[in-house]
Amino acid sequence: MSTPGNTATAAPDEAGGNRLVRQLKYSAYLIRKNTLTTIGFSIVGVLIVLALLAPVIAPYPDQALGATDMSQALESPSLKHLFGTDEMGRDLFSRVLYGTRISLQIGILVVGLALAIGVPLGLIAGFVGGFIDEAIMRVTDIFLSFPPLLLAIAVAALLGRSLTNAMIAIAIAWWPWYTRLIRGTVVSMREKPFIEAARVIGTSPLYIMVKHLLPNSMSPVIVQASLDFGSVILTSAALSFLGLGAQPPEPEWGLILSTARNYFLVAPWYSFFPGMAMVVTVLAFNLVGDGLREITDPKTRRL
Amino acid sequence: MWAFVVRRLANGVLVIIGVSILTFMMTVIIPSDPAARWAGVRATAEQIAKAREELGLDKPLHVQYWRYVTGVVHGNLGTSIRTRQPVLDDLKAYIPATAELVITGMIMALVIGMPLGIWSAVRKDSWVDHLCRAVAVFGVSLPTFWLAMNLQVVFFRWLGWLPLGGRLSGMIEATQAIPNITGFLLVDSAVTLNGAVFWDSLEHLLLPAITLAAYPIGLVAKQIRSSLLEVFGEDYILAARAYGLPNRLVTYRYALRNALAPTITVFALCAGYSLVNTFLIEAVFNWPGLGNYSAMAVITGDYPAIMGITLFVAVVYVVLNLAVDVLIALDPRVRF
Repeated sequence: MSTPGNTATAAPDEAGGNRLVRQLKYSAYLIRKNTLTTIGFSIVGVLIVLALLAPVIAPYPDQALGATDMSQALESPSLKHLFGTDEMGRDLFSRVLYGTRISLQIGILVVGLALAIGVPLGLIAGFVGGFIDEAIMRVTDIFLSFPPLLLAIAVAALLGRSLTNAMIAIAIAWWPWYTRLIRGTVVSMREKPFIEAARVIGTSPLYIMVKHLLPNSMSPVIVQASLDFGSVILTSAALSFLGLGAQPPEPEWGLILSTARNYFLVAPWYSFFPGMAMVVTVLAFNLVGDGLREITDPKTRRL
Repeated sequence: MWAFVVRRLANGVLVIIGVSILTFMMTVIIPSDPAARWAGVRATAEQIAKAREELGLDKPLHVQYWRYVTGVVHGNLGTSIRTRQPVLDDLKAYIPATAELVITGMIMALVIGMPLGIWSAVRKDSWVDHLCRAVAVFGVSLPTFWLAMNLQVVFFRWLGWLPLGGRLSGMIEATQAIPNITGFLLVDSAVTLNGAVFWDSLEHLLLPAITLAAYPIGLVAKQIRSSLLEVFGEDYILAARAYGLPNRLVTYRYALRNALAPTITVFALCAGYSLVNTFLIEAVFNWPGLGNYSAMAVITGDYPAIMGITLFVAVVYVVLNLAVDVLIALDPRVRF
């Protein structure tokens, strides 16, 4: 490829650094070019800021965490309570705001855990092949023959009711998707010349997997993970709604909606705002995921 | 082709065995002791030990698994802790209501999602396309139970057009003879020409079915759009257009047929998801079906019922996917 010798080593490194900057700039350009993707990224940015600053912004942080004020029960939205109050007189704006923290945490932890299980297994299955590949993939097949929400509900129900258990349950339902995805990419890459070259010069299999195969097969996984962020938040809300996830008085959106169900005909705002927060969040991650898909797609990149 | 079908069927059987192992393993890892629960709250240690023996929990795992599988094959899914009935009897009682809901919802998804997707692809990048894509992305981003509650607020509380929940009004149930042939109220009342029951059950079915359809509508429209656009790029479509064939003919006869296979796969996937979504939808609409039963089982910690439902839904899901693969394999254009 490049000319051998010591003089050549400095130049490609520098070019490599420049290339990274160029690539990032180009990605930023592609994001800006697509309005929907820009909107998605902006919303996610705002959500992260809101989540971080929740204790500063929330007018009633103690109520967000469970303190009650029965004299203000079920008040409709006003300047004092932007989103109204719930049946315990808690300020819903504060609670929905704190819910952002919980939802983003759930997304990060669940997707992170699923990636931590799924990616190494997929790498090993794809690279090693043979019996190990067969064994890992048949196990993923079994997990994938359950609709993810069903498996999450069953596991969460068995583990017992808590947000942590719900998150573990969702990750258990989710990892096989990443295993299958990354295995496919690795298999298609295993016989490529650069891997063969690495093998020939005696690079250890672990090094090949981590340094060569992993970085080159991550982009579809990143796209999928960003799309899954939304689905994971929805799934966890569904578990809370069924009483399996977060427990009162945690300000988790699904749980707020679950209690709102008893009052929604007299107090429609009670269910409206937490639901809207969830829709906006999930929508934003879906837009980001779709956008990333386009950015990482070589067909769009080449243009 | 037949070789593929046989191989796919064999694989399906293996997967179902795998599903049964996973479901069984889940019952094994339950943190609470089934024997203690079986024996009751005030049981002595001796009684619990006896219950353990009776339930076969003292045997090695593979023996327990064999017991579980032979039981399942003979229709023994255990006894519900909540209803004190065999789980299989409960399932049988609740399945028709859910089947009616899911089938209606999936038909709605097709009837709405297909034209949306086609329209979107034909008028790519027009306002119609943007609108359809917005509907699709909203459909998959809405929390099902929240949509259900909002529909109730609008159509029951504000407009007063549709009932809040249930399958029939109390009035109808009290005054009319409710036919029971297939368990599908719409079909049964239509066959027995009972107009009052028919309209009443239709009114009750509408909101839950739309809620159920929201998610599949989005996915079906998205899939149809992308596979149609792909087919539109093929040479034979260009050739058909060059011949001056009318657009309608090119779209529906030439392109759509070739774009259907991936949509059918997505559709089957959706049907499986919808079955689980009924857990949430039926709970909100108080629909007396499998989903409501499951939600109750989850709330009360009724493990045998939860495991029975999990196994049942997973098997339905596997069979559905199998059926789709075989269906697609029967297409002579597909070669393996």
